[in-house]
Amino acid sequence: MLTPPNALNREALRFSAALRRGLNETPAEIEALVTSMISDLGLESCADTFVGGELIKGISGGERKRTSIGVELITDPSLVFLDEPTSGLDSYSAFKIVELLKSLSHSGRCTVMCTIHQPSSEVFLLFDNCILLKSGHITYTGPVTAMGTHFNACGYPVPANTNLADHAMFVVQQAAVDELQKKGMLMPDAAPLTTTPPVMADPKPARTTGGATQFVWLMHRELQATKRDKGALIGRFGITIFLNTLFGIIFYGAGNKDDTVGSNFGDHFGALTMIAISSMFGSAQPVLIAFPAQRPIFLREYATGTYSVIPYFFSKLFFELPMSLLQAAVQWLVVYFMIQFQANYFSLMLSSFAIASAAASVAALLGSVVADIKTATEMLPLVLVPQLVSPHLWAPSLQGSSNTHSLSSSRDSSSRRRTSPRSSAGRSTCAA
Amino acid sequence: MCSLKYGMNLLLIVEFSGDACKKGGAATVAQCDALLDANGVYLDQTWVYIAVLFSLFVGFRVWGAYMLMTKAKTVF
Repeated sequence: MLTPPNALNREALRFSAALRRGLNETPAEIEALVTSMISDLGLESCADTFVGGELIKGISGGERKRTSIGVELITDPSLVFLDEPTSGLDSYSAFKIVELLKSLSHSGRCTVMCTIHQPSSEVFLLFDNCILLKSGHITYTGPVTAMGTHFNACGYPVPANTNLADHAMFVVQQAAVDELQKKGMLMPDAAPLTTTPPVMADPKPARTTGGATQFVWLMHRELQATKRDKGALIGRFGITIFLNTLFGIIFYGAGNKDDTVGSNFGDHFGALTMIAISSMFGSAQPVLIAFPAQRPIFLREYATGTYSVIPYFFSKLFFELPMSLLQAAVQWLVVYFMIQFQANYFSLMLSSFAIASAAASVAALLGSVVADIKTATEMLPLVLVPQLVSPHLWAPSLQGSSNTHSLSSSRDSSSRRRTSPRSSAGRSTCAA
Repeated sequence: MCSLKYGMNLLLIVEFSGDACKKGGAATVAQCDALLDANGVYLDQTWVYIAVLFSLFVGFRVWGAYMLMTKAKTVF
């Protein structure tokens, strides 16, 4: 899926047009282009429907493919290269897609090249020319209509009532390269095509809009996606409310009890620790998932020069920060009165927000590095769990739950230690 | 790396120092002081904790953006 699933069909085309056609067009002209493209692709009936995906119901597979093609065509490219545009489609939808591509190329709008597997006879005959490959060697190149004659001439006659494409696939799959060479099926003196990794020709594709424009469009898309993804919103805030209500019940009133009693003090500290851990995980999880989930879309859009990394990253950041702040506000709204903390609500909430923001940054890094959600989810504990066993984090709870006589006896010395050792030492020296 | 530790330091300072802790009297103040001490939390380093958290926030974001840029050089 290379188009955001919760964008409307029209919005996906508009986004591409606005960021890839430059600043020469007015919004009205872009809108006219989008409407024209929708009409050309036959998408009028679903123009205002979600593109959809695995989890979000949207347009059909064929319509989605047409939308993806439209997202590229709206920039008026001279050449379009498509990788298996009919994969996953039924035979009729596949036919309609290839028919559309043929009409585009015959209208002189652009040259269309694509890889295709298992085309039906009807689909295959729509192509003008075909290049057939066997282990990197070209076994046939020329008009599709002359392919049958070529196979017949080389000793591989096409059986009656057989799909020409299927026959060609059987021949090149079953025959060895030597055999094909003997029968004159391989292009003479042709070296096998190399299989080097597909590195972009230009790692910094030309972009037609400035960073600020890209940022505004990306922010708008992010806002729309969040508003529409109600499941994720409910999940994020629902889980926050549920977990913190649970903490509130378990540690009810712990903040307002007599802290000189060890167990009360332990509860007070424990409640604070649980809330901090909850902030860390609650904020990291959505960010961690967001990057790998949108990775294919980002790679396509980045490769095609739609936007650069910085506006993309900032759009995520500027949207994530208010969400984290809101999450922290909701979290403390739940626990503050139940546990009856003593400190100021806003100070506690902002401290929690600081933990959440730093943890989300770690998650953003992890999400940027890994390729898929599964790997990211598996790696998250590796980054966050060690923080739970960091030095000093648990020490006071053990001390607090033991007894208080040692604390009382060390009252004088402890008040000294409320400043850092270096400062204390400095003060002592001055006093002396 | 440990944002939780520095964040906890801030939370402890907010909840277990100053007026919030004085409500329970001298014994509670001593308890709070001992807690901060056991945690290695120092009031005069509050801004250090904030700065560390901010650095972690900025540092990991910049690193993430760089990694994303590096990864985006290939389409697969």
